[in-house]
Amino acid sequence: MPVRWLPRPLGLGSWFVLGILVAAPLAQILLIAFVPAFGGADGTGMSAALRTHDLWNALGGTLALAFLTMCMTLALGWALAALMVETPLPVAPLWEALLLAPFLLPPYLTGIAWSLLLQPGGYFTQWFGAASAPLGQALYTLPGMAWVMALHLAPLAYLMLRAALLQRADSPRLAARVHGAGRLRSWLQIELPAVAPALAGAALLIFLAASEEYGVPAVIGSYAGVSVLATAVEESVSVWPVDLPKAASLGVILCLLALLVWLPYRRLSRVPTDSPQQRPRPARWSALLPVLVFVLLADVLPIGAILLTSLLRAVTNGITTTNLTLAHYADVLGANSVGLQALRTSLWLSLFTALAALALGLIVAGALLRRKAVPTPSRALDLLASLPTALPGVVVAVGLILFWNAPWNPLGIYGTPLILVISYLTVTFPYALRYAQVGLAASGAQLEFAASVHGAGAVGRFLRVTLPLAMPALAGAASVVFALSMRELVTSVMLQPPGTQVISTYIMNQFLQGDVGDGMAMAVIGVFSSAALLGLARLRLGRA
Amino acid sequence: MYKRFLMLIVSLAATLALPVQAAQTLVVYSSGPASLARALARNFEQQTGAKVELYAASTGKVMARLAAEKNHPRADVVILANWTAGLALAEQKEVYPFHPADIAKRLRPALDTQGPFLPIGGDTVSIVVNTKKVNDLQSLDDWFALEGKAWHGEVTMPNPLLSGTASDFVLAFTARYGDRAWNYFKALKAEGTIWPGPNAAALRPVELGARSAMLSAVGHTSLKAKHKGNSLALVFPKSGTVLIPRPILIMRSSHDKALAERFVRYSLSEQGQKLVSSALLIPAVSAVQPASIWPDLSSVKFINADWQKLAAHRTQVLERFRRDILGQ
Repeated sequence: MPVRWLPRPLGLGSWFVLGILVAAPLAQILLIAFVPAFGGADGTGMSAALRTHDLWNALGGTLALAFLTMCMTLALGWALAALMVETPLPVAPLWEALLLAPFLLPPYLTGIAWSLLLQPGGYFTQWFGAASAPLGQALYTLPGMAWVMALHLAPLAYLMLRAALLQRADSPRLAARVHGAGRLRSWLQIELPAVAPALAGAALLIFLAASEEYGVPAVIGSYAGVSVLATAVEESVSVWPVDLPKAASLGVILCLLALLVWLPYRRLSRVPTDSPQQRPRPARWSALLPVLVFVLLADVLPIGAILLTSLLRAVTNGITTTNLTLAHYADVLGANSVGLQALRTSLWLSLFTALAALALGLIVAGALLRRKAVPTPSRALDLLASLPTALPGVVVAVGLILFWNAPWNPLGIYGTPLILVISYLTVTFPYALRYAQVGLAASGAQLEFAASVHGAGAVGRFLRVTLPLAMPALAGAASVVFALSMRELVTSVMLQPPGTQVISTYIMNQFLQGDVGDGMAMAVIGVFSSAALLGLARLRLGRA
Repeated sequence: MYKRFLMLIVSLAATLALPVQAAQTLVVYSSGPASLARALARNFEQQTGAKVELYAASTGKVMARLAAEKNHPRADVVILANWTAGLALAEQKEVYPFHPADIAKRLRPALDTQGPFLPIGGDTVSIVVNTKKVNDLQSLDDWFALEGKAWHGEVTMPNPLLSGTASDFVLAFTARYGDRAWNYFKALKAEGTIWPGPNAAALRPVELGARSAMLSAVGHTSLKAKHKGNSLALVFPKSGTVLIPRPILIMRSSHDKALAERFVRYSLSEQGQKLVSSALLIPAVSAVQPASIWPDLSSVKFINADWQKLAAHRTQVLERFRRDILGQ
């Protein structure tokens, strides 16, 4: 019997919430892509988009970039995971934190950092002279972009593969070796199949993340001459001549690609996980060198470049005492400065998003819990709720523009900061939901019954039993949603209303055509702090 | 616990109620330089007490935003980087005509161009080179000089779909030279020229020395970069360049045309024009001089451009550029 701690409208409420956040923008995209005339928009639809050179160019770029990124990330992640499992380093938590840190930096910032390091006249030229010029040229190519993204995504592959490597049992391998199988054979027949599901899962997840990525192509792609779907969609919306049906069509194609990858991943990720079966190995220093190299490339160099740039008067003049300054921080934090406004806007929007995501997450999680007895609609609701994980941010943005800016839509939300809240909500919703589900599961049916027996009403039970027990998970949800909203780039770029800048658009603007130092000072203040928050949330609750 | 929850809900409600608009708000969309738009907005706010909401982006993005918002227009005043973009808006009946005689008679004659709106200033385009990589500036006094083996992988140009001045350069250039101009662009593409974005994005590789020359570089951005100490030189081809007026216009859909007119009047006042001059644009009003960093404009040859005529081909030419040159 399902626990009745909240009234019936819960189910209706969740369908409404998800309908607005996910289904309506998606439906609007499909409609405009296939029936352009409906939206009253000028431009071409799907049939025309399929015939343009532009689409195939961008699709090819996306596939090549995602595939290369996937290969590089898997190689990096697998090597690191194998090292850390076979020969764990002493002071494991420190190395663990350093290996995971690159994932906390938003990819566009990693891209900016590598541009600062490798561009002509950048730090490498200053430090190592002309010898580093080929490296600079290599950055502005497709493999260069893949490299930047791989550094960002490697921690993800590392986590997934390490878990798989820890779970694999020692005994079959030993048995094989005892019975005369060579190293290669036992690896091929015993070890590889054991990590294969995790490897496939990681590959799909990374392919998904890389194919949706907007930030790195936006920072590096235009110089590399690489076009991807995400930037092509953004361009058809925000560069004259606007072609919304074309944006919708490219968006649909990007979405299909993402779904094609995400659906099998979703099945794979349901494989039950066991506790570690391996004997812990003694810590040794032998893995130190490769791990140090990764930490240097993925943490020290990018973070150092950002910190350094935020402290230098003129980037090209090198590190001298006369060239060091705190002026960029003063610029960002000065009263009434654009930077401070952006920071404040981001803080408010993210806070509001976090609170709203909590409330909505609780509603949908409650409905999912209640509906366990009725599997079919629950599964549909579950699918709809986790769909945003697969939805590229750029597609969400196009959908929201088409839906909230439609001629028949009477609510004037498009063009106000509220549209940013809605987009952040859509993008971060799966995280809020997962944490809320964990939170609600914390109070079992017994406690509810006990409270009920002692005369507590539905509201009382919720406020005094369910909510307090769910609090730790909810705090985690709030901080994750908050931190992700603070760094969100693509929907902010596409939906920012006049007069409103947020942290990420400020940084991008300063990097692309303003003062890089100011942008990096903002990155240190706004992004590093939210990255630290994400890290803390993971430390305390992320293992849930 | 109850109390904390209640407070949460109250603060939620309070935040929801926040985005109510202030009494007098003016929405301004402006293409670069963003610093000028910000300075104008700030001083106007101080003078009138009205609030200015500003969206600053490249001309291509401002035009895209206006097109995307057709159903729910928000902008009151629009500042663009090129005259034909303004004429395109006027053609779509989006512009509220404002060209009062008392301001028109104070305009610099070269910038006093026909149209239902006023110029806020002007700018021009040149070839910008990195002097550490190019010594012989004399050889560059022709627009067609950037073709050939020596320039392989060395040239950039702003994307005319984003940069207003680059789009008017392409319009005037192709109108004057026809197929020769188109073949030149194709040759540039074949030799590895990039169109990475608006002016700042195209100038950066030249500034840093990764590439040596930029075609159709707008004056204020190049002069600012040069002033910062970068080794750059502006070359104005002998065959002549174009002086491109930058329109400031009031949208027909504006809710507060009186306030919008005040903003335009302020922008063309002596005080506003001094801000224009210090943003390194050529002021629209003849009483205010261009910044001293500008080369002597009487020594530069300007060709007469019939913007009305060029505007008629704007969509066609840009579409062709997008398809044939950018390959999109």
